[in-house]
Amino acid sequence: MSTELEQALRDAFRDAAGTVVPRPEPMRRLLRRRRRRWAGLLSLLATVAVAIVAGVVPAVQPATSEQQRPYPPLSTWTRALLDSPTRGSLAGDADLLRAVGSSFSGGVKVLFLGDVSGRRFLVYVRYDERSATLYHSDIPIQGAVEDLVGGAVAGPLGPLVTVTSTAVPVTIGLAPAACAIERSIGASASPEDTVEHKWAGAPDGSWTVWAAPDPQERWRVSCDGKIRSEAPAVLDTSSYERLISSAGIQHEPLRQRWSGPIEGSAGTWTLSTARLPSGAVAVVLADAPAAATVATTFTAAPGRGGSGVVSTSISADPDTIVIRVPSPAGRLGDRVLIFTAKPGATQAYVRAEIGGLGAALTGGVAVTNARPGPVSVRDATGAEIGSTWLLEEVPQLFGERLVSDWES
Amino acid sequence: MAAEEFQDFVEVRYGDLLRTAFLLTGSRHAAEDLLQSSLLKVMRHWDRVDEPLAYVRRVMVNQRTSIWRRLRNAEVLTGDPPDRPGADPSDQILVRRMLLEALDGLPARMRAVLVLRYWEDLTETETASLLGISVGSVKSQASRGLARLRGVLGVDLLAGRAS
Repeated sequence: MSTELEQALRDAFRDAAGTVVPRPEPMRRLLRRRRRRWAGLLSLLATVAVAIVAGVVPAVQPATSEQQRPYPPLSTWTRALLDSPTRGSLAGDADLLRAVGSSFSGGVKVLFLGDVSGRRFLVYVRYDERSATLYHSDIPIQGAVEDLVGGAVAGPLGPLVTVTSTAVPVTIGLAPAACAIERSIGASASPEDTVEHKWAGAPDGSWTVWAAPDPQERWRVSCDGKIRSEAPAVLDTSSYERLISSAGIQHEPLRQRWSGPIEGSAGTWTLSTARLPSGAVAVVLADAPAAATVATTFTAAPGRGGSGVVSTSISADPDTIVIRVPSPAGRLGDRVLIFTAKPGATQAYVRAEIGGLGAALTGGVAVTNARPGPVSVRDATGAEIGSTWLLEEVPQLFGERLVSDWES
Repeated sequence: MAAEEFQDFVEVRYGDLLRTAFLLTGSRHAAEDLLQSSLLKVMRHWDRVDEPLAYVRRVMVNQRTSIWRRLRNAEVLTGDPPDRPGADPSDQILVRRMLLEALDGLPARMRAVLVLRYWEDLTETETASLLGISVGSVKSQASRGLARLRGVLGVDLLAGRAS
């Protein structure tokens, strides 16, 4: 009997079983079935059935409120992640899984167990009726289980879990088994000032392991034919160069184009651009050398370094740029900064609540309120010498939308 | 307390047990039917069960291999839709279908031995204990089962899954 054949059968079993994802609330469905069975019995043997039911079956009742379930209140897709099979190269190692599971006193679900880049990774969730917390640890492969289970909190639990190691450059992404992860494999800027990526499915479908320095790509997760998440795999705010790279955009070095105060916003601001292979530029407007907060229109995302705030945009014309001015809290609004390097530019025209609005350029810069739409730069005669586009007010980073839609 | 423990067990283990049931039956509907009927059996004796996971496995396998149940062999009707399929890249579908068809061609007990040994990763002794047969019988059933799968699916195809 060949070991290869045994392993092949294990792999085939894992492939086949991995396609089975239980629907939510199994206990409720089980009790519904019990009630149906009882109803059938009652119709046939009413008196006897009642006696059996009353005397023998424990008083298990359906969950009438979220508090009665062993998991805390969780969204459907977060629950789907917990119901997914354990992933990773050691997911089939029953002895190790058993050893890990027996190390915990309360409820635990192992999401990932595997060896990557010489380290043993464990991603798990500890839960009770009130809370569910995500943990992660990685230790040398030869390490003891006791060390492996002493993980640190790895962040909030959601339907898409991304874990990075501090010991080795490894990033692990885990989505519900019914979902598919795609990774961006290249980007191009369109004339409409948006970035478009090409996508490739992750080899393992609903989970992926990146064994290299921070993945400079976006991940897109689709479930039930709908895009549920689309964002950089790991947003790196340690520098603006790395911010652009982590958004999955190839670029030349960042170059400062303007610096100065913005009326109504404290501090000294800098506008910098990095040229993309297409000739367009990625733009950052920041009030500090590194940003703790990346403004993406509606949400503020905490970063890993610095204390400032930054907003981003993309421009097909490297010399005509419009970018929203972020608030200190990292939110964006109608207030924009227009920059142009076009010689002779005197006025910028933007779309306003009603009609258009002109703003005088001083040193190639104007700050005004604007609605999404065309932005033109004109000379003293009124002739248009440059144009760009202010994008819609959707969560976006460098002109690309950010999606997090797990509710429906 | 017993009711709460049982509910905890179902909520936590349902997915894993459903996947085992799927490999035992080859159908999502049949798997859910097998698992639910097994859980309902276990629920009645829950306060006397020492090792719930092993016990539910045993009930599932016994139900699956019982002559009565196999003779019944009726299509399972349920008010619930089947469990959702997961990500299913097209290049894996053929291998998966062939595996399930090959498993369908095995005797129920031989199939159970393969599932317990190579999916649940039970030892030969544990498998023998769960099925109520000798270790020698587990060895021979596993050996013959693997040989049957090799013959039906082809070594190259299965080996390709491992590479």
